[in-house]
Amino acid sequence: MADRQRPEAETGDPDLEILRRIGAGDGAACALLVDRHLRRITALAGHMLGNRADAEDVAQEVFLRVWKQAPAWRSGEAKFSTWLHRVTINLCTDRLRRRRETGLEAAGDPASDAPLPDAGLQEAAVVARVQAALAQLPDRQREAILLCHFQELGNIEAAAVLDLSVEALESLLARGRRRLRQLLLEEVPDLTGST
Amino acid sequence: MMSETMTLERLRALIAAYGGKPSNWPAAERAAAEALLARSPEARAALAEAEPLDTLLDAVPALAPSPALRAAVLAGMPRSNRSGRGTWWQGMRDLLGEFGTLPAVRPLLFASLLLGLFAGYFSDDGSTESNTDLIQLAVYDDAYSEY
Repeated sequence: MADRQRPEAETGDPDLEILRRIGAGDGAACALLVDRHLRRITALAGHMLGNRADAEDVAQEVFLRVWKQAPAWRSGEAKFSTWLHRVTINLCTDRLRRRRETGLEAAGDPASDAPLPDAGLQEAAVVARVQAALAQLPDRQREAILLCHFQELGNIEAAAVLDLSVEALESLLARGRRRLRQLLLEEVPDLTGST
Repeated sequence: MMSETMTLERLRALIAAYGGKPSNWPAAERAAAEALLARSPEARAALAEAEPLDTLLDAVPALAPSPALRAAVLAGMPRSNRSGRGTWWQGMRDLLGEFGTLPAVRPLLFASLLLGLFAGYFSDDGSTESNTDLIQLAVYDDAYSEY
């Protein structure tokens, strides 16, 4: 009984109680879950897809899956945020694959709330250059860097999202950062002076 | 990976993978890594090498969700979660999110509601068609469109 009253302590998953409330028909819990995760999920999709429209489509699709999954969520398996990141990455990967198959590039407005020209052309150019370098990385290296650097996930959770060991995650991260350094600092050595 | 002491080699591996911010390093190794940084000039030099790339990555802003996205996500919540719980005001607040919690917004919403009620009351000239009338008008309209 005591365990049931303390699901977070049992599993370390801070979302478990909210998911239980959603399963019980609590609308306020749905809003709470959205406010806890929508920002990070949109940011991740934005970094992966490169435009707002696609990123918001994916975020919406992720939450449709959340609403379907929440009532059946069980403790003791993956942490909810781990599952959420994995679903987001899978949906983005599907879109990126479809884009490659159809030869479509990312279109529309930029993904990030990047500085507009009047806020500094130099700064906007640096951001665009970094985004382009990230896009050149192999998928798994880019995902590892997005999870650890941009989403600020711990190494254990990031490894779980990518279904890897921590050692394999570190190898991906190191190779990804080495390639970014080549692309951004060795090939364009004055880039840091522009930030 | 748990270690009481940190070698320079392991610290370099951490920096190569996670960058130069201790907050991004594995929690289990952070304290030992910071202790090594405090006593080793080589460790600090390795950290300084990571800084330019970290600065560039930090320059990329994150996409923030629009209020319309939040509303659309909430509109997709299960039907069973939409009714029977909380007040109508709670429902409005959930839908409006942070915007709805701003102190200045509540009087505006209330004023909008009153304005709508007044406008509806005073614009009613008694000639409102019933559903049956509207259907009949649609039939006439269809028939007329043939000419």
